Amino acid sequence: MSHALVEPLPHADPAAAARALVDGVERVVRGRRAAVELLVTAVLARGHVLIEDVPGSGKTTLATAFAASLGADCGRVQATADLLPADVTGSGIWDPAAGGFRFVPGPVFAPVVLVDELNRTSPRTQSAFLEAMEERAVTVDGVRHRLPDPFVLLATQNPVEQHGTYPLPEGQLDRFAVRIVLGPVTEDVERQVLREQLAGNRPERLTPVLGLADLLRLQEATAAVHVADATLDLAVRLCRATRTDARIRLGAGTRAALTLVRCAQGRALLAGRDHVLPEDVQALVVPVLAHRLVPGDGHGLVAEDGAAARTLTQERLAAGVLQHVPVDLRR
Amino acid sequence: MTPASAPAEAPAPPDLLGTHAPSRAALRCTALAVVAAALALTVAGTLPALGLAGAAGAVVAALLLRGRSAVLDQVLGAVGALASAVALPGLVADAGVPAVSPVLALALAVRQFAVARSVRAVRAVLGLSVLVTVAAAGTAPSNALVGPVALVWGAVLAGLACAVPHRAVDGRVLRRAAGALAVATTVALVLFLLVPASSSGGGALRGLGRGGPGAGEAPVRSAEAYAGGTLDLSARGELPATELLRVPADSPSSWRSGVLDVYDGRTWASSGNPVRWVSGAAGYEAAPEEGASGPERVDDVVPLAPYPAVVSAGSPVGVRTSSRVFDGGSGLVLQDASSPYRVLSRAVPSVEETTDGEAGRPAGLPEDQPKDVARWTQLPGSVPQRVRDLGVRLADGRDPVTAARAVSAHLRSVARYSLQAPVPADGEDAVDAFLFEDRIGFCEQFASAEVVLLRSAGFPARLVTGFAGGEPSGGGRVFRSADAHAWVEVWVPGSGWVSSDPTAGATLVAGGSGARGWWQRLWAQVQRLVERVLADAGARALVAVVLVALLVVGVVVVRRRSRRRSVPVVAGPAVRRGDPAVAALLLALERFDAAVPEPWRRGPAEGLSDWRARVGPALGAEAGAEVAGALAVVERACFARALPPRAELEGARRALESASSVLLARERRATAGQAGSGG
Repeated sequence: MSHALVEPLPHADPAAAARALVDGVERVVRGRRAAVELLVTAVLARGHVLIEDVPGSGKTTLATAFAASLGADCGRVQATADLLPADVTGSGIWDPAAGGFRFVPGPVFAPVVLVDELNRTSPRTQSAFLEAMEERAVTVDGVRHRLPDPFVLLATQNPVEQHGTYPLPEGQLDRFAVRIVLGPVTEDVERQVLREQLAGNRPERLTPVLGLADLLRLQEATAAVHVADATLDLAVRLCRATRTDARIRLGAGTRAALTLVRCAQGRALLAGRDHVLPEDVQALVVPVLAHRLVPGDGHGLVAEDGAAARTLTQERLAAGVLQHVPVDLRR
Repeated sequence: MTPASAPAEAPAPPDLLGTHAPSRAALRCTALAVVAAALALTVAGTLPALGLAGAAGAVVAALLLRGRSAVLDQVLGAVGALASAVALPGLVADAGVPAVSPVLALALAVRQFAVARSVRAVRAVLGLSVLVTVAAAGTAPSNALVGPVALVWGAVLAGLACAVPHRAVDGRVLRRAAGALAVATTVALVLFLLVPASSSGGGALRGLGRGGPGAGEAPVRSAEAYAGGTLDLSARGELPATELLRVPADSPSSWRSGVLDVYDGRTWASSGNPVRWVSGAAGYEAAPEEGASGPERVDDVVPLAPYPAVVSAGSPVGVRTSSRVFDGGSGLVLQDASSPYRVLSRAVPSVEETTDGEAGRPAGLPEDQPKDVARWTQLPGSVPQRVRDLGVRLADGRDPVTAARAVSAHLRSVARYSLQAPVPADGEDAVDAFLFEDRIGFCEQFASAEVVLLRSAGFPARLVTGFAGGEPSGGGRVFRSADAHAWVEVWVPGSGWVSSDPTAGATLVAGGSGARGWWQRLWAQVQRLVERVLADAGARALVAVVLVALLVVGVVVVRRRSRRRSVPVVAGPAVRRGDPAVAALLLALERFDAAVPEPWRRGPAEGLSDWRARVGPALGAEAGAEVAGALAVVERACFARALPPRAELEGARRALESASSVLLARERRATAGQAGSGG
């Protein structure tokens, strides 16, 4: 069950291929170079991405443009309050001809899965994604079905509306490699986007720049990027610093440290380097660690000012850790 | 990310000197190595105790105080070097100029230890301490050096293994050190075995047995001395295992070759043979010696190596031989030292089996006193009063047998046995030094002391030399050079001369008790085996070949095992070793960081590429580009998989150093300008 377009890799250089993917997505998503690079970085690190911003800021466009640039099937789940786990994973259906149940795969069986407004669905359905994200497999009626490889889950969530939402549990947040906060774009960019959209420049029309097999190869190349001891120490100390910070109630765990290093490998590959620099790690601290931090009570902005303020607090805390951890120069 | 923004609770910024500065453990090992080297010099007699104390004190002070300031380190180093060499003038007067160099090397090591700031300097000090130890071993090889030498080697190996602070002492480092030690030891042993032994008697290992303090000036002992009519109590050294004589297996254990009566405080000599010899029809005959009343016996003696003195299993009364025989003063001497002879002798009883001369008095009772009492009670003026008092006190007015037993028991209780007995100082009485100062000696010291003590108590006594013990061999008993012995004969009224051996049963220096434990017997066996191997050129070569083969097999096995083990289980980062070029580069970076004006210094959490972008413009176009390139090299040296080429590392270091000096010069000009305008 391969969704890959079997094409030769257009670029022998993995860095060039990764940049081509970034450029491919940017054909539609304008003015968000950093966000696109972060998305590609996370995908190179075999991670899942949580995109957070107000409605209408291009979250879904980013996800679909990414899927289209890979030429991959994009499974799409619109999370609502009445969505059931079977709607995500698929279920057994009575087949009169065969005289038995036949498994009909759900939308999660696609290389790129877009879950829109993930925080709108019930915790029960949210947890259906847990197994898929971590183990890259789903179990239906006691049978385990493997998900395609590569498998990327892009989820969006709306931080503004609080009515009828279920905040994602910490365990599920921890399974997203990075959280991308899109933020506003400049006036010029907004005008350009409008012009292009009016002209019919839709993500669905994008031609693929990379096949899924190429993405797999890129992911392998990413895992081979060298991490020096000093760099590894920096990542570990950064994660540990979040745990000792008095302002943080729950810091980043070991999975976060691992994800941080993997994403740093992805960033190094994207920059055309065969080794990770401390700057790679530092640059990824906010996107990788922020959404895993639980601020302490002293920063009780959560209840009053909503999820957006919480996100801001988390990002400030993560950035604050950076300056407290020195960069070691040694061989 | 400015450096000033680091809060107080932030971890300390990384100390780049740390990669270059030695670890504390290495410093301690180095201190130990230097002190042990000084100890080795002291043991070898090259460094007086004052110098040892000075060196040790200086090293400890430097270990505690070093690193506070450069000036203090220099002062510590200079004072330490002076303290180590404090006894140098006396040394030059005593032992001449060549004795100076090891002490100077030690002083240099002490000084360098105080001022050592890098791993390289510490390694140099470790090497110096090895050099000092080697010099000590070359000056005076002795068993006592084993401890200091082992200490130095252990400390040096440990110091080398843990010299770099951030490199953990893992199994690999230890294995490498152990392997190097094994190879070096084997090669040294093979060289030792293959280099022919010097003709002056026994190779270096034999030399190790000789000596003790002041061994350089002591005459060397020889088995011939025990038959030569004089015995020098200053002579030291082990005797070889050369087989000298074969005597019947059932003969008495002690065979005498000479009788010595004149003691002058340092040597024993004979004032004349107590036995009068005449040439008879059947050979040489003598009237039985005064007091020689034991049963007669006849023994055949075969010299296995030329040995001129005639030995007898008691007091000799006749010799049959084809060679001519002379009266050698203390005993008979053969003209042809290799010709076998038959000797008639009268047995001499021992004090252990004599009960005050009451039992079994044969015909011709010996008198209560020998005829020439003055000859057998002679004592020189050099014997101090305390020795004479001790003799009187031990004898306690009793009969000679009890007195001899008491003296022997006293000697065995206060003195220990060792061939490496200290040599008494000039003008010192040998017996007095043995009894009251050193309390270490071998048969000569024990027997001399007993004779002197007995004579002090008024009993006629004399020193007898010859052989004792021996090993059964070829149907007889064989005496080797090492079996040469000296013991005592005391006049017992009614019995005549009776032998007493105070050495038998004396406590060994090494052993805790007189009884030899299994380990002592085993050690003796090992020594005998080593002796036998060393004596035979063929065996030496064979052992050398076996050692080389073992070394080759060991290397092959270790290579195989490490190759099998080196299959990577986990694809982790390649294990890399600290490289001096990288250390130098990081040091240059540290200095450059310090030379850059404050706002452009690298923040503690600032990566190199961020800093590169910031600091470049501050330096000007050309220098900025050069420094940026150097920083990129540093970045690769720290974080990339492969180390940049050495030339690139060196180039980056030079660029950083020249940029630092440019910055420093600019700053100096600026401050000078300010000062100028101010004045």
